[in-house]
Amino acid sequence: MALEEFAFLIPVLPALAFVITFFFGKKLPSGGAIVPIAAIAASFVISFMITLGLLANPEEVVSQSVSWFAVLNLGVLIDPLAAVMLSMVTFVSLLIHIYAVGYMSHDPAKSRYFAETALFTAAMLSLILSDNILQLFVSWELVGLCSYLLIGFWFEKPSAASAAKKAFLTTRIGDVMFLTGIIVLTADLLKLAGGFTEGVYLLRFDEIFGYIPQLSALQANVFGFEVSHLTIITLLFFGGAVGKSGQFPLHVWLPDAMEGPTTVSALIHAATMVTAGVYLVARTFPMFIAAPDSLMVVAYFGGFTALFAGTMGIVMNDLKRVLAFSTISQLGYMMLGLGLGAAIGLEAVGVSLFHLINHAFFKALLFLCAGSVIHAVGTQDMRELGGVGKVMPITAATMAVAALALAGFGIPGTSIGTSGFFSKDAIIESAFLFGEHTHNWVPYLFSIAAALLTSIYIFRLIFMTFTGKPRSSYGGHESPAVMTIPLGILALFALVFGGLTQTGFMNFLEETFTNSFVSVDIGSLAEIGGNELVHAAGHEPLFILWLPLIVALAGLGIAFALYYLRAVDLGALASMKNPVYKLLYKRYYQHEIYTEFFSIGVVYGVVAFLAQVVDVVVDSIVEAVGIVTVAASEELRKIQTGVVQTYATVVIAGVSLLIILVKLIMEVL
Amino acid sequence: MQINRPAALAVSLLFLFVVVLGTFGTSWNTVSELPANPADQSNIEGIGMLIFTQYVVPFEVLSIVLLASLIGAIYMAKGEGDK
Amino acid sequence: MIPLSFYLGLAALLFSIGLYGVMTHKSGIRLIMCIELMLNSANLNLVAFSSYTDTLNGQVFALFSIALAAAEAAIGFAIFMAIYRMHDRINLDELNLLRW
Repeated sequence: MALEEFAFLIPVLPALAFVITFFFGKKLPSGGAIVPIAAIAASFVISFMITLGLLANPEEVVSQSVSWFAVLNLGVLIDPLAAVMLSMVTFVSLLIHIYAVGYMSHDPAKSRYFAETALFTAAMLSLILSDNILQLFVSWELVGLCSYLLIGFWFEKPSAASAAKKAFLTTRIGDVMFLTGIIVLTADLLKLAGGFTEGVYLLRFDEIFGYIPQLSALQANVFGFEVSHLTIITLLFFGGAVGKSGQFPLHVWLPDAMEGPTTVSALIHAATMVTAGVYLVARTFPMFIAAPDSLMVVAYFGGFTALFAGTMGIVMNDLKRVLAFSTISQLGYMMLGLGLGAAIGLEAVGVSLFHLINHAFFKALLFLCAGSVIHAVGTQDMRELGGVGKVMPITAATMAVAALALAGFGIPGTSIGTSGFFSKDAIIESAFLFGEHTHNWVPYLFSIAAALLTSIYIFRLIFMTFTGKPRSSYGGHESPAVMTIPLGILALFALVFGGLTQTGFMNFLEETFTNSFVSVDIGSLAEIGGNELVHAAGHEPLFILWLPLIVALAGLGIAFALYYLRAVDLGALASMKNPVYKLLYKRYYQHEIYTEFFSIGVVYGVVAFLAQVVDVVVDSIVEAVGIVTVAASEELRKIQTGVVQTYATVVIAGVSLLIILVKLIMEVL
Repeated sequence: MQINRPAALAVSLLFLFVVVLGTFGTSWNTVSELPANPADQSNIEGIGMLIFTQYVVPFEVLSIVLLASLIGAIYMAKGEGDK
Repeated sequence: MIPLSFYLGLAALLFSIGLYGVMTHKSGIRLIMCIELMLNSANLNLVAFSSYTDTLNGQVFALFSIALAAAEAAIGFAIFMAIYRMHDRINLDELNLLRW
């Protein structure tokens, strides 16, 4: 098909838009917003058409590669996994851009904003459709850079500048692990492939997947444990994903990332940056499943993050911070879903990506609604809000839809339900299946407890913001149509997308690893990794099917009682005297541990000590070298008299002696 | 800083020694006999032909160099303004 | 007939004399005269080789070289004129403004 030839345009168009907007945006109307919007719309059309083509014929993936250095390549790979991500990213990004026209209309630097978001989108698209791990890493770093620029968009605010720095440095920890993983992988592959071969692209995914059994057989000794190289590589990759996707313990940057414009938060949390980590694990899933223990690590980290972030989400008073912790929690779900691949195989990719896509819709919606509220009211502290629903009915309605989707409301056994219901319940049911199969119930407990917390914090947000009486005097008006129309579209998707696509989607994604580009036998890979797969989905006990809904309803009830009816005196509960509240409100003292103890105490202390050493030892060496050099050159420069006649004499004498010398040598020889 | 005379003399003689040794030590590939009659061996015409055929471009370039050096010399020698 | 080497030897002698002058003299005029001497020894070589190989190219080059020597001398003397106006003598030892 002709359109697939132009797949490379998907990231190139937004990148061009970045260049145009960056240089000429100030001269164009509304900061040149039309350029990125048009470019991303074109990318969306291309992505969507290719996705439709793939849906009809999932075997025929789009794959183009050009050589780049000896064994590396640049390329485009659009398989089902990439196709759904591309469509989602371009679609959500498009809506966010349109919304931003209204949201950023008063900002003087809006052309810079649109240029940076265009680059951000371009980097993410390039990350998704790269067909080799190195190109993915390059785009990955570009995404990190853009997130830094965008979080620090209002860099004149110290908190924004510091949040940007924090996001950059925290994700850097993960990026270094990711890069280390790539280096280990490259070294191993070069060893296994016996050096460079013309026309073979070593780091392309099909090549990597082909070497999985051999990689798994390589053993290394780490701290006295015999571990497979594959486990090391996948865990390092997962380290990168932890940083990017805000998993515990590198999640600290994500709540602070709220310092940017709300549209940026929506872009980062829904469509682009944070999903990159989940995408990475999904993309290299065959490696994870073949590596012993890696998937268990993924599952535990994911489950723990889901629960951990949920507990903090309950006590936050900042509208956007609640959503930030919610994002971390939902990303934990996605990681958990991938980790459960240890039991359910490839289905895990489908389950997890399904949640990712649905989450993108309702989380973008939540952020844009929050942005709408902040735009109209001018504060994001929920204690000062209340009763906003009367002023902004459209925003309130769409946000309620998003909350229902996030909490996962729907009727089990039917196809009636919000999109979050289908995807999150699929993860929880997978966790149950996993527990039944391996008698390891930890992931299930994590996921069901997190579901309760999710419901509580999101309805707390809804009740505190939109119902009751205003707790401070604020003006306010419904947002303009350019902002509410994207809200409506996203609300529609948050409501019905899951129900419409629930069966087709997962089957589609399972084609990711069996097609014309790459074909792996997941069963045998799972055996290498010591994972036993089960194929018994669908007949869980009725109670298990209904439990997520019951839990969600319980959460709604608790939030209703506490924050709508005010049945309990919150003042006593939510005060600093309550140790649990204080612990949660201080976010488990992460700031104290990470910044004040680790950064300032340990790192700064070590650096200060090293600086002393440098001052005393290294400086004296350097100074000695300097003194000797100066003294020597003081004497040596007298050779350069500056008199031409001296030079002429020396040159002539030298030439004459040289000729004699050569002559003598030739005589001797 | 001036080179003292004995050193300069020594270097010059060394150079002369090397070059003379070189010229007398080399068997030059020359014509066996110079033209016998000196009266009719004018080569002015031949040189003129060469200059205006084979070496016409260097000749023109040289004329420009001379002109430039002439202008430069006049400029520098003339000194300040209308003295 | 006189061998070629004699001409070359004469040229070498002229060159060495010029070299000695360049090395020892302070006055700019003398310096330029010595340089002319060296240049003309080279011209002598050109002409000698030209006659002894029965080609005329060397003599053409000698002509060019003489013309260039004229240009060089003109520029050199103009510079010395300028120096003379500033210093009232042409002693190259005193031109040490840019030296250490």
